[in-house]
Amino acid sequence: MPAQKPALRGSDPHAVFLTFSDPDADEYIVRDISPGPAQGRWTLDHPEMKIPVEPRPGLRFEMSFSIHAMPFRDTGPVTVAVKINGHPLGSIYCDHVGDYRFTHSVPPEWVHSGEAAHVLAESSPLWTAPDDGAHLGFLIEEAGFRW
Amino acid sequence: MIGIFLGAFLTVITAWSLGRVVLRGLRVKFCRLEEDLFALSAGSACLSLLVFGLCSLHQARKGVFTVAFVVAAGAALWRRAIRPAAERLPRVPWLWLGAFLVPFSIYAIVYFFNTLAPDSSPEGSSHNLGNVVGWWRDRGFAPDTRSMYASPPQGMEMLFLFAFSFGKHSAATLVHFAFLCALPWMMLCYGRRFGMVRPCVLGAILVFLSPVAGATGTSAYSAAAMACTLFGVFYIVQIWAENRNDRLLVLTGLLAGFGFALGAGLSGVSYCIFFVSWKLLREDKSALALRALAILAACAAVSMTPWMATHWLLASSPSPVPISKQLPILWSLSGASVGGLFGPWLLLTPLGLVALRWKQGRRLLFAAGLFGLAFFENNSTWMLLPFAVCAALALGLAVERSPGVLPALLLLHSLVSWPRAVAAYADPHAWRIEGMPLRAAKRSNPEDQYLRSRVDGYSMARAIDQMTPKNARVLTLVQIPQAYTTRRVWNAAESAKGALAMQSIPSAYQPAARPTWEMRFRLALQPVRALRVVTSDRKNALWTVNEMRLYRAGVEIPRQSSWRVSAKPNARYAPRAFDNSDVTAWSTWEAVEPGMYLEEDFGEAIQVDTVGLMCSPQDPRPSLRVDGLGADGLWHTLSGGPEIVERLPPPGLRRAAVEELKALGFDYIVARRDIGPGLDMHRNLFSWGITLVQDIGGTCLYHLD
Repeated sequence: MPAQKPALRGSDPHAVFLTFSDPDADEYIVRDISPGPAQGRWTLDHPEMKIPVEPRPGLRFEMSFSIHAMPFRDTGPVTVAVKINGHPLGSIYCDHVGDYRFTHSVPPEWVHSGEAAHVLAESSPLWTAPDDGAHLGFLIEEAGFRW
Repeated sequence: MIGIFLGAFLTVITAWSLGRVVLRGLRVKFCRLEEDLFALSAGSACLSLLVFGLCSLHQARKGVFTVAFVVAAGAALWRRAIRPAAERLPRVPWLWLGAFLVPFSIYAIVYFFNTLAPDSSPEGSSHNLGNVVGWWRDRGFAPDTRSMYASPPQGMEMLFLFAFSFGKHSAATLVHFAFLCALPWMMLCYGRRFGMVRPCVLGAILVFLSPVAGATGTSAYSAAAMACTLFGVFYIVQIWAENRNDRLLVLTGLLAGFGFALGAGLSGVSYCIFFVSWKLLREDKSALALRALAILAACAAVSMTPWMATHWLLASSPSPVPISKQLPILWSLSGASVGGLFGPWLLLTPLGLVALRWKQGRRLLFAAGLFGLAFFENNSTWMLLPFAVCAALALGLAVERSPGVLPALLLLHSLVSWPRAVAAYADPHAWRIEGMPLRAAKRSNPEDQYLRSRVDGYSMARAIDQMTPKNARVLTLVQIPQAYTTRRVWNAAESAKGALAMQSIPSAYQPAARPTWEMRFRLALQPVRALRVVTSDRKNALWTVNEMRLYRAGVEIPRQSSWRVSAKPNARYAPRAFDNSDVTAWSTWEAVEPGMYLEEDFGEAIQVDTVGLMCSPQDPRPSLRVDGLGADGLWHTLSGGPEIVERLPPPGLRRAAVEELKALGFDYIVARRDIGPGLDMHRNLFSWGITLVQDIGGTCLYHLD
């Protein structure tokens, strides 16, 4: 059996990550994440993405994002809650402006072989942009699974 | 300039001296001029062997070549082998000598200046001199997976290397030009010896003035040398038929073997074996025939052996050549996509069948037929040059007795072969001489500037040399002339490594090329020791599998390092379907036949209920079934056709593709930034993980980060 190659990058063959600066990232977005390749993309009301992953023991979900100063000035601390295929996974309380990394183990039975896992990452409270009235959450950079 | 002339001079003189020593050693007698031409051919065979040996020992150095020249010339002097033969061939009547010399001299001057200009020929600037540059860099042979053109017999390139060491590219092309000039003289000598001067004057001029002879003979090709050598084989065998001196068979075998080394295949060897056996067996001399064949085979083997291993072990089987009714028109008048044209005279060659009435005609036509078989392997016009030599002489014989036809043909051919005249009837893209590049030949127009304007990719080739380290390995998606860069350049068309690299690129950025389909074969849950997905019908398409995965109860069975994978065909690439990468794949690389398979062997029984094959929706799907190796040690069919499940490939395939290219050993990639994958690379440098190093008119050199 040949050596197993990493699914995305780095040297870890046991990980699959979606980078939102990738030109193909839109293919993995189900709804409510701003379009176009950029280092960080704004999440809206119910940001949802799909990530292909097989049920494996030791599965963990990881997400990198940042809280922007402008919304934070109005909303104060926000909570980001993550659901995998409808199952609440956990949440993270963000009490300052800056970068965050959410990481949590995932029961293998929550994901199904041959089907992409649907990940919902909602923040509250949302900030309403004064120019277009969009409800903005946080800037998502990367999300994926490791096992 | 001095280097150019010195390189060509030393090569030709070394070859000629060696040939003289060989002729002296064999004690065979030829007439004046004739012996010089045979000495050049036989000596070239010896020099080619010598350079092969030096390359094998990594001693391809200027100093060593200089010593070779001194030793060869010294041996010729010492053996008094350079004394001209006393015997002369019958004189050519003045009128016919003029009819030969005038067109020969005029065209030879045009050809000479074209030869001196930097080589911009399609194969000369890519493989032929590209290989020479590689050997010169490595001082000899080094393992080379860069191109399938690095493996065929390269007897001529050995002579090029000798000349290149002194005078670079143009010195090498001058050596080939020497053979181009020797060829019509050899044809004329043949006519003088066998009493057919007029047909031979016509034949020699028909061949020498042909646009394809001009184009190839002034470039770093082997066509003129091949024609000269094979005609030499024919010529010497005819002398042997008259005097039955078996020493001539030694020379014949040596030249026939050299013909193989020049890329003519076995046509020279076959010709002399057929002819000599036929002559002796017809006279009931089977013992003599065996002896003669033994001499021929042994001497041919001397020239052939060094290249036989590389030819048969490394070269792939030739692809079938498309044969169309248009070929005679392409070879004679158009020249499009067949690498040149002979001119209208080629259409007259069927007239040569009239020569079957005479013994000489039958012999020439038999040789022409045998030499012409080469087109089944390669339909390039220049491959027909050995055929054309014999066919032109037969044509000359056929029309000799028709008053005025011979001079008329001579005159007409001299006129319609002039570069400007050829432009009137040839395809605009046909490879041919277009004029006399005096300024480029004299280098008053700088070589660099001349090549930039004539050779696609030349500027990038120079940039690669300047911008990359010496050991850089470059994958190119555009044409790069290997002869003008010392870095190793791979492309998809010429090497397995290039093809594997190119397999990864489309699946990284083209949505339709991604493996978004999974073919799932459902089995009854059962223990199996090995599993095979097998083709069950014939399909004129490739079968490609990106990944093969196994499942039990809806969960993938983790792969174990102890499992073994295999395939038929291309077992060595089977791991590419089990490496967890969506940008690599195993492929049949040939049309699907029943019984081809991809296999996973577990070493012990495991329980499996589903087999999945990831593939792209655009890949053809043959009829497939799954066979399992049971506890009884027999293969059983476990499943019929699959169901198709849509899947989402993992993100980040661009970066994965670049990682794959790096794993294949590449450091750089060259692509156009306005088309295909190059356009996507240009827009998404970060996603690919590449850095732009140089952009030359839209052709970009990227470093793989």
